[in-house]
Amino acid sequence: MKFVRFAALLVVGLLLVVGAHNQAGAQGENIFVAAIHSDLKGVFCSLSASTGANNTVWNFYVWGPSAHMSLYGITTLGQQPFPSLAKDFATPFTQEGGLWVSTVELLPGVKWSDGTELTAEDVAFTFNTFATVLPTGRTLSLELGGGWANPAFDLIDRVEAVDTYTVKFYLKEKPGLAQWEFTLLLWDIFQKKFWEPKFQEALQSDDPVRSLAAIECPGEPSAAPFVTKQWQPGAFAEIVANPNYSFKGTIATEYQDADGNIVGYEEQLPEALGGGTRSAGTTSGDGISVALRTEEGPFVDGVIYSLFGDQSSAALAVISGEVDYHFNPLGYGLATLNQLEAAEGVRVIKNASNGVFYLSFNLRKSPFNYVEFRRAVRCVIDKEFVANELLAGQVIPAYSPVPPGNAFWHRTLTEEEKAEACIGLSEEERLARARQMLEEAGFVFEGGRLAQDPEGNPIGQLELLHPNAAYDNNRNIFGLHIVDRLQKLGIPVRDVPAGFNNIVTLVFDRQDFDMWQLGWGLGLYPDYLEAFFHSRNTQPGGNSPQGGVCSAREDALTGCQQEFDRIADEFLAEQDLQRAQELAREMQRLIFQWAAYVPTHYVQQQDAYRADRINWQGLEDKPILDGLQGGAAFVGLVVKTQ
Amino acid sequence: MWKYLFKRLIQIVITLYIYASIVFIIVYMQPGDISQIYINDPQIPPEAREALLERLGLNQPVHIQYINFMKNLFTGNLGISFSQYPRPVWELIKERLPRTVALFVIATLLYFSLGFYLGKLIAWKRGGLIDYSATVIGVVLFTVYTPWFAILLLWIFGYKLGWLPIGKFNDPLLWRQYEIDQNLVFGYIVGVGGAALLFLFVVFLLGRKLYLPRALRWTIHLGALGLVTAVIVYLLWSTTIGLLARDILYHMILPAITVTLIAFGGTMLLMRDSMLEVTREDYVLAAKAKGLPDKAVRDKHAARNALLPVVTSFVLALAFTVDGGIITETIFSWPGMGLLLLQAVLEEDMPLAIGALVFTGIFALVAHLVADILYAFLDPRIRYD
Repeated sequence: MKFVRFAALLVVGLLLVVGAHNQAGAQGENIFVAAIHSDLKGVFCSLSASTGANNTVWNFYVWGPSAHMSLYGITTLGQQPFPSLAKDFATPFTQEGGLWVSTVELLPGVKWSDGTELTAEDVAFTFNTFATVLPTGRTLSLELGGGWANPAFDLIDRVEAVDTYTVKFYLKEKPGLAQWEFTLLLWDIFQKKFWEPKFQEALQSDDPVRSLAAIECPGEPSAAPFVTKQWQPGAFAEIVANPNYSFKGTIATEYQDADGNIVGYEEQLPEALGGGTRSAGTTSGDGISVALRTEEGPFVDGVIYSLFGDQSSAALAVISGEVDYHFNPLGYGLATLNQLEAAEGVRVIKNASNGVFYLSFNLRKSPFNYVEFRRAVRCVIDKEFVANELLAGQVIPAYSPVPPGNAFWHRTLTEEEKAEACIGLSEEERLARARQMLEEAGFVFEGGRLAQDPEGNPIGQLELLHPNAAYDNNRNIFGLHIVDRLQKLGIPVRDVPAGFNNIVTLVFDRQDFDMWQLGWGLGLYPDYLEAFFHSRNTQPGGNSPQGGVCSAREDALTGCQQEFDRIADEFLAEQDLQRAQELAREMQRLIFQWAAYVPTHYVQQQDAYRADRINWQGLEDKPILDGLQGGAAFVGLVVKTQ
Repeated sequence: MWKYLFKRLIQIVITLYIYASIVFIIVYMQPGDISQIYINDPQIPPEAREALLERLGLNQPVHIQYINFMKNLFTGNLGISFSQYPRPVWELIKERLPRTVALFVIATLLYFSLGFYLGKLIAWKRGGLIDYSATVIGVVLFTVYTPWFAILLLWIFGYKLGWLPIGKFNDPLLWRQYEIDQNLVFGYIVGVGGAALLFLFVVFLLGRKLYLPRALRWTIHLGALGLVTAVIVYLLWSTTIGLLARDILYHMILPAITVTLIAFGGTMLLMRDSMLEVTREDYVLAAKAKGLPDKAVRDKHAARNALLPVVTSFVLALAFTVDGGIITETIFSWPGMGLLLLQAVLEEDMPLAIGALVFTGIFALVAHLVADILYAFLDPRIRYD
């Protein structure tokens, strides 16, 4: 053991010497340091990053501002599609020989990071490649899975480069907004010169997806504000400013009306892109004012995504100044939040997250196939009490599957609906009202316990599957509250806390459940309403395990499901934004009416950053869906002052 | 001895087969699979989930998956990771192993040395103030809530005093200038450190076997230590890799100290108990009766004979360093084998979870064999037929 002692002495001595000579980081460059909590998945390439299960939010944080741009972008506050690589909006679809055709003109002068020009060839190559049908009968898009999986590619017959700046899309069916403006026109454009040989080689291999996912491509030509540089697994990833970024210097202005609604958008392009102006909506007139004006960056030399395994240590790093910004999609605990807010030079901004947490029922079974029962359950849940008292304001009570942050699509409740949902009532009033609803529908209570449904069937022990505290404490607390209130109402229910996989297996794969709680991360366009409630999605593995928007019994009596399906189909095919908005809000009305879902809460997106070193050009004071880390600030607008 | 070794190797293979089968069954019995990650995203159509299940072979019957797994295992192929597709499991283990080994071997050396020394000391002075205070401190630290203690140290030394970095194993602002693969640097640390320890071990062994005079032996020991230190210092301060290795070592100080403080109590109490047994033996009484100095009786007669359980524990602890430590790795942002295994289980990455567990199992089985051989080396009464 003497040897071990000597060895230990050597180690201690070395550590002490090294500790006394710690090095300082590189100085001179304006490097933005962001903390992340999970390492990148797959190999270091944009393609691998979104393939299959590699497609994590952490990969998105790194790849979002680098590598790719799309024909359209999304405006920051208005959240509307607006031309980006496209010079103007795509032409309306016309029929040519049984196909639906639209033409997109590209902005001349857009450069890749390697100095070559982005042309129609790149666009056509991208869409034709992802629409390639593999021997499995599925498109490459679906086979790649993850972030690349989208059935919209099934619509593509071909895409042609008519000339250097003109692309023609030939689609088999006329697409709706969901497939066109909110999918295909937002799709990442790949550089043909770099990717074509790689795709061709992969598509000829035995396993094209595996071959493609294995390609490493640091420094891949990028049309975006940044270019990827390196990844040190388990430590950090680095992207650097694209020296040829064509949109740098673009002045973007969003306009609001007197009520604060975003009504218009205008872009002043930089000289490199001809210096013109393009706009949409209302940009002048009575009561119209500037809501936000930003200049496109990037204003830093690079971004380092530094891996921190633990939220507390990352928060300490922000406070100590080691880190400029903290990517933290899970939100902070109250203690950490207070610590950050009290720290000098640190600011935390809170925004609505684009996701919803909900309670739902098995509409195939009694008593859940009675809307009165579902409404009674909704009535007894005091979301304000849970959100504000039990969870100390960390979550926001929810009444629609479309979060209010997605303002264009969100529908607020009418006064009658608020009364129907028992909003503002005390616990006793809620319980009394819910009992009244049940008794009026024909439910029978015996000795204070719900005993029979209106058809005289006995009601046995019911179960609520909800996430356990280890998986998600917010939903756990909501679950406990729901069970407590239902038991007080006399409903024989017990809570079953479980992990995500257990719940998903029982609910989505086996459809063996009574009630469950989970959540969804949502997209901008609310086509998920169709996914959650259309009758075509009720099969095992589908997104509507509860069985649609109402029960089969109710559908037979009122045609509620058929009505919803009709509206959802119309919504998917709709090409007019205003009409689509009306349909989306009508779907939300029906969802509330039939109470198949009881949305419980939305979470806040909390962004902590060094306010003494970063200037977001006023963005930090505006409501932005999903916050800064949702992409608005990181896709170009990265501003750091030294 | 060779016959014994052969028998043990056969046992190891059988045990490994049973262990791998149990690991496969346990991991397989988890509800769901990695494709459920798609269910979080309503934009992803069910067809994409079907494609993923086909791609990963999860649509095959369980017995086919088991046979494929066993075939792969015994041909040295641990498969492709589901969550890091299409990276092979071996590649991920190779990526994580050096950083785990570097941290936990150093921490294990430190806490065993401290535990051994204090255990010996407090057993010899049992009932005194040192015994009570070391025992209380050791037990308190051994049972302390690790995440809290680690965060506390991080807060004091990283944030309040600013002496040490807040987690991570390198400074990205420094490393970005060189673009050198961190595993090369970790390999450098493990390689140079391993060579230095091997050199010292040989020198110490020779010093013992050659029966040199004490003064000369000490001179050689100290000379060897000085030589090794000088070479290491030169390497650390004269090359770019040395610069980056220093950065890693600097970041290693706090996690190594944390693990040492938390774990030394176990070794200390083990050594104390073992020493207390030995000090009751007649030969210790005889050594005292001969008038040998107290220190000589303690170190040469009692401590050496009390070593056996500590050495066993040490060898097994070294083997389990490949397993890492989930809490330490999380708090100090030191993603190694522990976090790899945890993430694999949480993400239902079956090949990676099974691969990491089997890899650790192989080390544990080999370590048991090494411990048994060491018994014979340390205690001449033990012989294997």
